[in-house]
Amino acid sequence: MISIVIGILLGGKFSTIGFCFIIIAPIIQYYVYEIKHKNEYYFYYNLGLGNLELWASTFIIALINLLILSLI
Amino acid sequence: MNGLHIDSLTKKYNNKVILSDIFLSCEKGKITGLIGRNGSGKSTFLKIVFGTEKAESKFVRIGKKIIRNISDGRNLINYLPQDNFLPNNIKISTLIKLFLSKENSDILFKNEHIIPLLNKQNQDLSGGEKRIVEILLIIHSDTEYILLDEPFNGVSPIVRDYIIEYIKKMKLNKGYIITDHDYENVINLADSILYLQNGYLKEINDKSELVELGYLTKTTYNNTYSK
Repeated sequence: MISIVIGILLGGKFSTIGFCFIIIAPIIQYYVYEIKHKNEYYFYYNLGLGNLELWASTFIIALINLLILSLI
Repeated sequence: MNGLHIDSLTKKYNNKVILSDIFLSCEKGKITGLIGRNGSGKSTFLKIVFGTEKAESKFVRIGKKIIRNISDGRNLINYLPQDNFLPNNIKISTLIKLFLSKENSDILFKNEHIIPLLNKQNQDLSGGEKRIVEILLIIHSDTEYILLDEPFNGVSPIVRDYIIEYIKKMKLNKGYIITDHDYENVINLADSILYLQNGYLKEINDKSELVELGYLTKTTYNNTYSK
């Protein structure tokens, strides 16, 4: 949502929104999971997902978003 | 036999040895109780075994599989941390479905303590309610070994007794390592007790040793354990 709003404020192109997602998603993940609710990581750890997998999934989803938005 | 084998586990903080060449072996169907003073390294030990804390050296193996990190321990080892770990803004029923298999979800959906909480979100639960959801989720997860760090934190005595009985009932298929500030819970629940002091692990062979160490009063020992 924040990415969409910032993307619109920066001109509203789909590719710009996609780039915003790549930047905003990791920042939000860092704030929510590394600073505010660090213990919530254990929910994912218990599913066998380590920090590397979780961060990688954030970037991959952000890249897929960018790819889809760039193709529109 | 898929035993949990922990060997050569050493941890230092600022050159101070917290855990020194620890060895521990645990089997399915057995509950191992870990006791020790505050700051003795019980939680650190469990986190190292689970893979969320680094150690100077460690060797953890379940059956033939060596556990080096969290991914290696998938479906083999789960950990209940001291503090609440369930994500907010998600309904408890959804969390159960995400965390457990269909078969195990159905068991929790029928649990008398869980039914009233199913449609609530984690942040709307009391500390005790969160804890019982977390404990039941971990106990029912598809894993072979469970590490419980202070499972009775913030839990009422009635629920605590329920959980103790529940773990005893469910211990056949899994191995447990448990620590708790209320040592009597651990002593009551565990098949074997290990005492962590100054970085070393000592097996308690006779519960009378716990009186000498100050973990049981003489009266409690005489009334409950010496018979």
